Amino acid sequence: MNEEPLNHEDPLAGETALFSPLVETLTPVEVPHHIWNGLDLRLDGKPDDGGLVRHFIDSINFWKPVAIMALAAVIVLAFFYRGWDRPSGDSIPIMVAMVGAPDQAPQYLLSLNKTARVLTVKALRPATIPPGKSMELWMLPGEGKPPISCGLVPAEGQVQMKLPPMDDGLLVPGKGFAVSLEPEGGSPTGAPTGPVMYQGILHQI
Amino acid sequence: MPHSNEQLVEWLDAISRLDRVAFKSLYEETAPHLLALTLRILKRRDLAEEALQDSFLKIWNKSTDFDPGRGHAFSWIATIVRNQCLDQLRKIKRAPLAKEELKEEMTADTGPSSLEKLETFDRGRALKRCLEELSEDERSSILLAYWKGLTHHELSEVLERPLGTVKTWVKRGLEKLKRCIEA
Repeated sequence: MNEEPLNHEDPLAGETALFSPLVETLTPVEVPHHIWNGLDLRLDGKPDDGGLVRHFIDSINFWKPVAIMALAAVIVLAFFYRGWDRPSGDSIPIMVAMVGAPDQAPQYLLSLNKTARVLTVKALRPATIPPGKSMELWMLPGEGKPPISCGLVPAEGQVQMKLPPMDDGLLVPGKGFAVSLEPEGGSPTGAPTGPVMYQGILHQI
Repeated sequence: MPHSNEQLVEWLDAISRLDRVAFKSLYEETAPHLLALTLRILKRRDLAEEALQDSFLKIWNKSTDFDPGRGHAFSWIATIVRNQCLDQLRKIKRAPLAKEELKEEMTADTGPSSLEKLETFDRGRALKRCLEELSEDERSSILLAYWKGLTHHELSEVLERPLGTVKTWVKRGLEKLKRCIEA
């Protein structure tokens, strides 16, 4: 029998493999796409080598849903944007990102005022955040650079956050954002530690 | 639907060489049953999905540890997933289990009907035959520990029997079961 790590509180420790046929009798449950997508990202997610970012940007699984969401963003913005926190003065450059899971309706609408370096995050519908967890928003610079935390996002309503210091060259259309599930209060390491729940890319409007 | 051991072994071997296509295939083949397992143990959808994702990360990282000569591939995978669920239960410090609710579920988890589906494949039939050779107390305590991740102390509380008695049931039941399956 293959060795298994011993859980000393488990009365069956060391012997659980005997029971695996029981698992095969369970009725299979449809697995949501976001689990694989998050897993796919985490495979390269070592913060020290920037793999998460590289893989995120390279991933076909990322770009396909993002392209669909980008189209949705343009349509939805026509409805939302007119009455929503538009800074005075039409010349202020605004970029947006629709952030969501590939198999679900978009979860957050991000609006970036590049001049003020303020990011507004609006929940388009209530998000489910498990007790003891927080959702953290990350900007993905690409080119092997590690994700930059933008802050925690709410389950509902909207928040405005001042962007952390970063090169202006990163605030351009095509850059990615991701929301990961983290311990309450945010990632303890400064890099994503939990599964990626939502993703999206920045568009100029 | 039981999984083909040969196919799983082939994928695990490829995964140990960092083959992502094989990893995706293994995931697609086994994740639906494994999500059913994490849901069964953890009850909460968010925790179950998190445990599933964490488990597959471990499968990816530990695939070189798997030795096909020492057991069935799905057993190795299911063990990783169940251990992940127990870690999760410990992390969230599960609230004391409601006895009434547990008693209701016990029938579903440990009654004869829960074993009927094992009749449909060889490894299942062997396990069912051997489980049926155990006393009812031994079988119930072992199946509750498996499906609910209960400790000896929790088993003792739920079954309302002294700790020593419950430990004996589990130990004796496991010994009988191993002897029977290996025979």
